[in-house]
Amino acid sequence: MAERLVAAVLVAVALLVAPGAPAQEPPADDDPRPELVLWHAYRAREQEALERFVVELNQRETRFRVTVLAVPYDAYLDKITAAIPRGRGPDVFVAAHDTIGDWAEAKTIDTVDDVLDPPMIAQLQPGLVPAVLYRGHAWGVPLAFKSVALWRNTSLVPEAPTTLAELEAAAKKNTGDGRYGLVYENRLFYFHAPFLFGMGGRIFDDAGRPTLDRPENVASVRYAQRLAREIAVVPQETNGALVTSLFVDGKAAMILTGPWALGEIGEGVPVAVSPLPRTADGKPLVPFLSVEAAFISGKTQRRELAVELVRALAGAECSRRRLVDGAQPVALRAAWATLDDASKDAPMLRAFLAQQRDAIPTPNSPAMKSVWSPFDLALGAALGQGVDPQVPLQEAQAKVAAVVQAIETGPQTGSSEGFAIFVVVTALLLGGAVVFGVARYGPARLVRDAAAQKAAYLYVAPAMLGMALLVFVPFAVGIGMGFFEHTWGSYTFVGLENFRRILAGGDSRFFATLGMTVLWTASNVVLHVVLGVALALLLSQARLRFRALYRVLFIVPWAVPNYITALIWKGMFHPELGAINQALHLPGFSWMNETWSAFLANLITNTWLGFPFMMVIALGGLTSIPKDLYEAAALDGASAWRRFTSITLPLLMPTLAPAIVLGTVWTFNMFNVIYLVSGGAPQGSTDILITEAFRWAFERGQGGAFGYAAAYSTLVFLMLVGYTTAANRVAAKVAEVRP
Amino acid sequence: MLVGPSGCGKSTTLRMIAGLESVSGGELLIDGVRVNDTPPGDRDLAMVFQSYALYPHMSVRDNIAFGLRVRKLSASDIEARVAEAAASLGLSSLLERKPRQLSGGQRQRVAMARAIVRRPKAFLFDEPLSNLDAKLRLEVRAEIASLRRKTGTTTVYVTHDQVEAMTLADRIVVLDAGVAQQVGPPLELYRRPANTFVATFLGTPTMALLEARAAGDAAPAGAARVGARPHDARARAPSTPVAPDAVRLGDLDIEIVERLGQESFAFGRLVGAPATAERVGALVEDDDVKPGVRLALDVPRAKLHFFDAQGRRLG
Repeated sequence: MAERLVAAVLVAVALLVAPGAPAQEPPADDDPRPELVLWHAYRAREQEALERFVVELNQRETRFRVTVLAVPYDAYLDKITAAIPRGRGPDVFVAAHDTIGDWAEAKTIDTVDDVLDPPMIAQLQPGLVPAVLYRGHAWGVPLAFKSVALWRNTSLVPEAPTTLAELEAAAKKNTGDGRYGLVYENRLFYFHAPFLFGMGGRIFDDAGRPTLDRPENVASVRYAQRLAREIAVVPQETNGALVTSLFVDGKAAMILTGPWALGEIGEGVPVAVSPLPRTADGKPLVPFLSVEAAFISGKTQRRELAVELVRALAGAECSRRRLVDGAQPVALRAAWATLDDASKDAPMLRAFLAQQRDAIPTPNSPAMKSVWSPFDLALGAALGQGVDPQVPLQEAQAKVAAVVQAIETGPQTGSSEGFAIFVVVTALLLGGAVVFGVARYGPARLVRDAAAQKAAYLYVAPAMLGMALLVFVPFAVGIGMGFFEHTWGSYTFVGLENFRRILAGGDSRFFATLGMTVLWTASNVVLHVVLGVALALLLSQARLRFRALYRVLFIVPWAVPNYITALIWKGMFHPELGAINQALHLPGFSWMNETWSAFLANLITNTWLGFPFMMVIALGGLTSIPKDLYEAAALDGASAWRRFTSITLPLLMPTLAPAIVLGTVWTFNMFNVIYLVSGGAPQGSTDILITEAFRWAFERGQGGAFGYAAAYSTLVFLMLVGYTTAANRVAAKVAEVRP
Repeated sequence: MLVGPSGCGKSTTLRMIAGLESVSGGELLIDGVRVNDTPPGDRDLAMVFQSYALYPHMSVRDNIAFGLRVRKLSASDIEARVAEAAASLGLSSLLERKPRQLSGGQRQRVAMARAIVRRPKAFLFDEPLSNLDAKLRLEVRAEIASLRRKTGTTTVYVTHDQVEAMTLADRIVVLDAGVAQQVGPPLELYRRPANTFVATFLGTPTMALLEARAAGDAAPAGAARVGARPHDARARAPSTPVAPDAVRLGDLDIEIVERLGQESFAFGRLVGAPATAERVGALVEDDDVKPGVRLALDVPRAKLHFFDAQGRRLG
């Protein structure tokens, strides 16, 4: 028995710690060709076209064979960034060019100067190569390009507008009655960029310093304000799904989006794509250009073969397939000659090709990553609250300038003595804790008991191992990260600096966010408990008919995954299209423009999510209160209210108290609702600590302030430990009244 | 005092009086006033529950004071009345305890204190002794009896225990299937049960019922059954002559002999009775009687109870 258990444990361990285990087919034993692993994030037709090419390549290629892995797009960049430095990633992967800076700095990718030589460059569409250059080297071979263009419903807008004036006229004509003339995600810098560049704006000056608040930029945002607020042809608070769904429903006459929307738009509406119109002085609108390139992993063991694979991917046959079968605007000029102009995709593809000539590659520098979020916030303020763009753009400029400054000064130099002290102190603390624990228990007793309970330890071993790997290790790593600063993949030990910055006022937002978090938690828990107990009281009335039905219905909000609920509520709070404003007759009232209303939207959503738990707990607690206590109180002459306050509430508290503690912790860290409903809007004022930590880690540029975010999380953890300890003490007191 | 077998409706009756259950038919009068629709709190009654129903989160003091606080008495009044009630039940030293720190008997007394402190028109007791062990039951029973003497308050008391009923009651209501079978002082019910139900319900060991013809010419006209309490009956050797004022109901084949110390009972079936007939009990004077012997069953004529075919008492 014991041996079998040990064997089972060993197998479990082996499965958990087995290296690699990438989702690739195991190498066929009879295939002597070395394997190359290729990753991409394509779906649907693009995926089919690429993978069919690889199958054929594998049939004729003698030097290597290719294993393809399609990675879901959402996880793609993270997976590459995480897997390659650990030697577990692909040899070659296809991705958009805008992360090149980070990857180059972290040596995730290797230069391809030898592949992208002048003869090859000559075969590509002009304007693509700059996208893959970084610090004077080429880092990827362009395969395809994508940019925003103008899509129109030809039954509403038969002729493509060529100027902004025509665009406005067509949009105005098609706005009203629940229809919108022009729909695009106007609060995202990516979609605003065509206007900005078209009106002469710039993000960086020639020296690479940010210039977000230059007058042309301000003017472009004023123009976006005009579209959204003055002539109001653009709906408020759009998102990607809304853009395509309005278009598919025939409620959007024109949209700005890229070729990626093709799959979702389908055949439902008569659609045509054309290049973006021109400004009054004849200049084109200039969207960002995304160049999809083949990259060679910095860690590949088979670089020469990888080069051959990249050449094949960029070559004529693959390009033709990607263009013709995959409907992908490809980089290789020769491939376009094979495009049959009678085919259904041809006009759209040609439109994107035309647009490419007036598009500029997204800057691939790490500094660019710090621009998106501040610029989005500035757009939010200008389009949401209608403030003069000058002000939020100046704020954005200040934020970005600070980050770029930090990048230029380079990562903080860590002190190795400090790190040594940290390691020694940590080791001493942990070792001391172990020694103390053993000494207190008695070493002899420990050995004896462990021997006596060998079987018990074996039984819990798998669970303990799982806990250790899934909980304790990540937890310890998270705490440890708080003592480091992370930039572009390198960690520098900074001791308590992160904590000092957060707590000593270096981070102006921390205490405001903490205040919001406390307000958020308190108001939620109060509402959950009041509503939950009230409904439980109703449901416990024996006279109520269909009690079981109501009970199930009230639990439903809890049973639905909370991010889905959050997204549904987000949709219902939409200013023009949401059910709430329609029901309240508040057309156009934007919940996300003011802190109080955005907070209220979050609160309503989370109350919907939170009350069923308290209700279920309270129902259980109510059934455990003996009925004769109420009868005794009734005979004593106590009113219903008095019976509730003197009997129900005090006797419910022992059951409710632990639930309240739990609910508080959940709400304190209720990431999904905040992130998905208000998204921190306006201006991050409704963010709570946990979303703020997320933004530091993943949304504020600087290559991910992981250490800083970890310090945030550690502080959150400490606060919750403090709270729970105190609350449990109170709960234990309350529990004493249990009959 | 409401007595009856379980399920006979005695608790329901009490709860209707208290107002915890609605009256399904008829009128409920307290002091001549119809209270069918008066909420329990306005009936000025105090109830002691079988489970005591003490408020677990309140101290003994608060438990006793709760009804007074609800009725908004002044703090000093409450203080005085709680102290008095506690003193009269020996609870003065326990006032700060929580119910869970008390023994069963103490809880019972708190429940009683909570009732008397209100000085209600009437007390309602719902099987108050059923959760106590035999010794405590005796003590608390005495306490209830003395409480009634001291306060003189009307008390409605529900029990299925006839000893409680006999010892505590001024008047007993015997209930069966929701119908009052007989109302009267305990001894009258014992001595002159109005029907076979009351006759067999009260008294231990149970009265035996036989065919009336066993009593021969002692039976009045229309009598269908004759009953004799084992305490009144004598089982003696068949050769013993029948006493002049007694009736010999037949011969018993003794199956069980119960020796209680003070007295001994023999139980057996009448000779000639079917095996399914119930056993008849009688006192035996001879301590050596053993199962298997045959004894004659003699009962004084005056102690015989006759019932008609419907079970009603005759005479």
